[in-house]
Amino acid sequence: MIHIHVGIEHELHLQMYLQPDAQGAPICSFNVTEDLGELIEETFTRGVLAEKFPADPATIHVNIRPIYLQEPAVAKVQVQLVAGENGEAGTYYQDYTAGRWIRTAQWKALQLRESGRLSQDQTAYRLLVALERSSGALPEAPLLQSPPVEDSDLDAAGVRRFSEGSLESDRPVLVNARFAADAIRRCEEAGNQETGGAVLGKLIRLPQPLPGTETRIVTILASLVEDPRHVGMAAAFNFSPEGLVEAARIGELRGLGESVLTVFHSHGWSPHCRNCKPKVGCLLAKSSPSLQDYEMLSLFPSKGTLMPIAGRKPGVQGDRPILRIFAWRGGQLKAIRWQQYED
Amino acid sequence: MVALNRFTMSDLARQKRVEVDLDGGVLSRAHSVAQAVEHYRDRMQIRDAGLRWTAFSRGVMLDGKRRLGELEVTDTEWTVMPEVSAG
Ligand SMILES: [Zn+2]
Repeated sequence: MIHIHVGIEHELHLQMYLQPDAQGAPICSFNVTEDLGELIEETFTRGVLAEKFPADPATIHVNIRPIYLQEPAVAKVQVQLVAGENGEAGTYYQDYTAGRWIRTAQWKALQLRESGRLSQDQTAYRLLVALERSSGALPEAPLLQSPPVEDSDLDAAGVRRFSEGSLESDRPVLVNARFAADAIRRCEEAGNQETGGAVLGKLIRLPQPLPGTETRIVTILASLVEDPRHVGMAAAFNFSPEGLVEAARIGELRGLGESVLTVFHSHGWSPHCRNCKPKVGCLLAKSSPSLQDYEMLSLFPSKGTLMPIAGRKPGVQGDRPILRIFAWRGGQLKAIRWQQYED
Repeated sequence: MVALNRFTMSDLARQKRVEVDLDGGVLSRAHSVAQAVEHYRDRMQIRDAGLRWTAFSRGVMLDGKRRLGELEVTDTEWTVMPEVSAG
């Protein structure tokens, strides 16, 4: 159990406006100080997986400070972690331009459009402000736990040969070529319906970092487990808890120390994607996480979670769907580089 | 009768865990499975988005209404998850 002390002299508020540059009165305002909990967790998990921060210190002091665009408007939020009493065990920080407040603002804009307070072509502008902390609105310390990592080597992990792709230096992700091919093929076959399944994988610690990377911890996405109990439709894919538990059992039977690390889903595909014209309206989602996809992550509360999505590459003509892998970076899911391997 | 004393609630990926001690913790044998799941969500700081949550032990779904005192002594490793949809 890690003891966490959060130090912050401000509270954060999200304001939404009908005009840019925060002109006029805000149409709504929320205290989003609580959203900092997620950023503390992301900073911790990133630091641990990058081997830049200890995995299990007794105490962590968290220092949070706003970096102003122009006071009180916030450009970035800096989250610094200090391990041990004086930081002798390590320090690590990340600057955030995004957080859960971005999704809150997007949901709010959808509601405002539905209720007619915002017209379809009107934009809602958001502003994050940091105010002197008045009450006890201190963010609750999140449960910081480092993910289990097994000491291994590429051979034992079933990695025989690297093929296409490249690696992020602080979060190397290896993807089994068969999983990547399955994901793309399933997306193509499902057409405008979404498809998906459980993804078996594990985190391993190699004796040495791979070339071009700075951490020995590597995430392996090994295989896709489909199940007829998961149901796909246009713009949605329902995961069955029973189907996911069955996938976990299959993972155990494989005896490779894998678990259901995440889930895969597709965002639809059409033969017209081959002649995609950027200016023409398309009902297929882009191959990036939707607001609904963020909600789905209550299934995987760790900020080390990856989200693989297959779909069209918007505005680009492609013969086949593409597979993208998203990781928590900067308070949101960002596409990261990954390398394919053959087993 | 041998009763369950401690158990662990974990997410599907086994990345995060909540340990429960039924002797002297926030949960007792009189609490239900559903209340234990609520405790998990609370500790994980997952907001209730109106999802249906379930707990599994040894591959079998636990009835939310069951008292923790009624569980088997082998129900020590739970997997807790919501029923979710991707968009
Ligand atoms: Zn999606």
